[in-house]
Amino acid sequence: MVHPARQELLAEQHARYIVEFSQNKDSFEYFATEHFRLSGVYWGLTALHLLGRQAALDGAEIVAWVLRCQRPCGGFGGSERHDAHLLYTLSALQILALYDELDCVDVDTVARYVASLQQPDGSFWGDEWGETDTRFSYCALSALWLLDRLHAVDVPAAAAYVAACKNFDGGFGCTPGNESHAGQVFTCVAALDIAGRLDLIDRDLLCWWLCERQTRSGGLNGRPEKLQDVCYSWWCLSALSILGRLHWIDQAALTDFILDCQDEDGGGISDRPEDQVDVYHTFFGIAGLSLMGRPGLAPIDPTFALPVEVVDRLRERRREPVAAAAEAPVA
Amino acid sequence: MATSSDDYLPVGERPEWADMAPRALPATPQPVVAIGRDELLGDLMDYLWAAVEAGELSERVLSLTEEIIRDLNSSNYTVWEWRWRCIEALGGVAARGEQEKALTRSVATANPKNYQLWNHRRRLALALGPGQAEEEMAFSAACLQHDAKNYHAWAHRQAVLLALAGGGTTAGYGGSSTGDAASSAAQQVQAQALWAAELAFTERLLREDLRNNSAWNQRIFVLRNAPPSAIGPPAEAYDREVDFAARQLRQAPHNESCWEALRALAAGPGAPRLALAADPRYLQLCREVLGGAEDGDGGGLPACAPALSLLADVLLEQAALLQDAAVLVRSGSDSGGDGQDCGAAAGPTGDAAAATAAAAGPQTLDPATLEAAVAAARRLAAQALERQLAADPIKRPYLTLELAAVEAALRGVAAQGAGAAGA
Repeated sequence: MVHPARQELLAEQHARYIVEFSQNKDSFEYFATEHFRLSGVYWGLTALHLLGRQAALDGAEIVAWVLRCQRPCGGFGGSERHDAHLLYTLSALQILALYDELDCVDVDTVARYVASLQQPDGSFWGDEWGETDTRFSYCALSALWLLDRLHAVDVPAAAAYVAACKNFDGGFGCTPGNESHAGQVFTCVAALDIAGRLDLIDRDLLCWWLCERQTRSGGLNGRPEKLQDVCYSWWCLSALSILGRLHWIDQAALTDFILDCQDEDGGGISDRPEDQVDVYHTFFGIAGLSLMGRPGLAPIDPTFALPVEVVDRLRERRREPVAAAAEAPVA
Repeated sequence: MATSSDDYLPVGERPEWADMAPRALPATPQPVVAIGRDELLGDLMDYLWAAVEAGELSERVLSLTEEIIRDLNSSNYTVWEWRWRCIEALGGVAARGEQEKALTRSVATANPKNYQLWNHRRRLALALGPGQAEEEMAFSAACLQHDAKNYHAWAHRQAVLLALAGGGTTAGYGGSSTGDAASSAAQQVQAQALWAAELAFTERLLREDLRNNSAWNQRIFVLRNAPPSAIGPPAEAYDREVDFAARQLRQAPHNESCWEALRALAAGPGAPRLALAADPRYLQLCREVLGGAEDGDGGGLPACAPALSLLADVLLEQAALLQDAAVLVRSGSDSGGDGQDCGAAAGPTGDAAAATAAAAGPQTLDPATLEAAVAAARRLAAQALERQLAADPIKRPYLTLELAAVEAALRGVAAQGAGAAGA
């Protein structure tokens, strides 16, 4: 049963919560999260965009700040003084894409940085220091797609590494042999989608495993015998959506679970009902509802985790020169 | 280290830092992203940025990184990396091993899910070499005592096993090349012992919590990567593991992780082809757990959803086997040849179907009997799915589709689609 005050999506409260959180800069927490500020901004902004309230924050200033987080190597740090990392490079490009400002960066410099992190086995390091994780494979491919520079890396090798992380249950882990985890499943499925290699996925087996993540609460967990959590509404649903199996889960029950995790007083969404809200879960809750076609929310693209409108704009622009070339008379 | 402002000495007042100017963040007013100032902790970072800017690798920077990691933020990639560079510059990893182990242990106690800590520890372990393997397993085990499903701790064990004990199929990825090292007999013995100990370790953790999916995954990982000298030949290991999983299941039949492990075994090394149908233990286990009620109404007992799910798959796999046999026999009688010649044309399951045909003997194999057996197996599978639907209604959307596929197959429509929606 959903709490009576949470039957509807509290869009106004959530937008206010995100804006207020962004402006409360005096807490220890705010300071201690400096190193991943770019991702935090991406979560908040994308949520606002889905809510149709992107105008609540000053885009020009955000874009200027994002550009200041870029390092000479081409990658972006988590905030102004931090070293470049693939995680934040993707967040930076996603924010720029939201504002249609990808032209502000030198595309080839960023692409070279991403390419420099690919290893001979096809995997990606997160930064120059050698941590390997399929999250970084996704960050690399997604970033390069946004830049229209996918060919800067060995895409077949990248796909082969991701496929090597596939487990007996159809799911994926961080590195080969690691336990299947729904968060990792999103990164691997989306990476293979960008690489054009969804055929490497054992589709029915994986989607059944993802369905099995739904618990009696209606919420989804990330691994067998673990607790449900709102963030998996994104991790599991995006993968099911990419694979065309969204209808395999009980969407009404999941919707109720997410709605029940809202804070009707201060706005925001938590991991489970009655817990403390945060921007991360607020974004993933709203994104999950968007994937399920919630009225009042802009649709989100399951592969790029950006509003469909933004992804379509990029696609459209790339098609134009191709279409023009096709129409040109053959000399 | 100081954690409260009472006993905190600002870096600018410390004699060893007198010659360096801090590098503060530029104060640009911004509504979304302006960085707040925590006076106590911001101070440490300002000096670190100054040191990084100057490219300084020194004892004082090393201790500054430790202070930041312990007191301010243990998840800052730059701080850890700068620390690693300092260690390499100041005598190397081997000389600083104990200090780094102590720091990572302390961070793990406070924040065991910290990515940077585990990355640092893995680099350290791999740099220290095979002699470090046992201590790493103990370190990870200590973390798992507090959270037995800590993803990082399990991944650490895998990385150490693959890199320091020599791995199997997944070793080509990520594991460093220890091929030469492992060639010495003593190291081979150590490697075998490590793999065998890992199997025992997972058993111990499963005794504590049968629902620990990470421990089950680790067991499957060992089976797929350990050398036969450590765990026995594949077929033998498979046999032993199915019995092990079955024993655990009897204790907690609703345990999803254990059913998943059984499916993994059926699809893994050493298993017979089409193991769910070919190895009678799966069907037997389902029957046992379901209390012989799978042909009745369940008598009001709470039905075990994962058992019904596996039962449906066992039956569908049996139907597929029988269907292959029927096709084989029919085409065999049409062509007048023996069934085995047609095996290749019957698709990937042809060999097994041929084996079924051979075992049953040619005189008993008439296509109509086989078709009837296929239908019977599918009807039983449909019943199992219907009961699963009742037991686990949240899975209704998926199960309804699965059931429709089985029923379509029963009607002879799209027979190839039977079970297509399932595992």
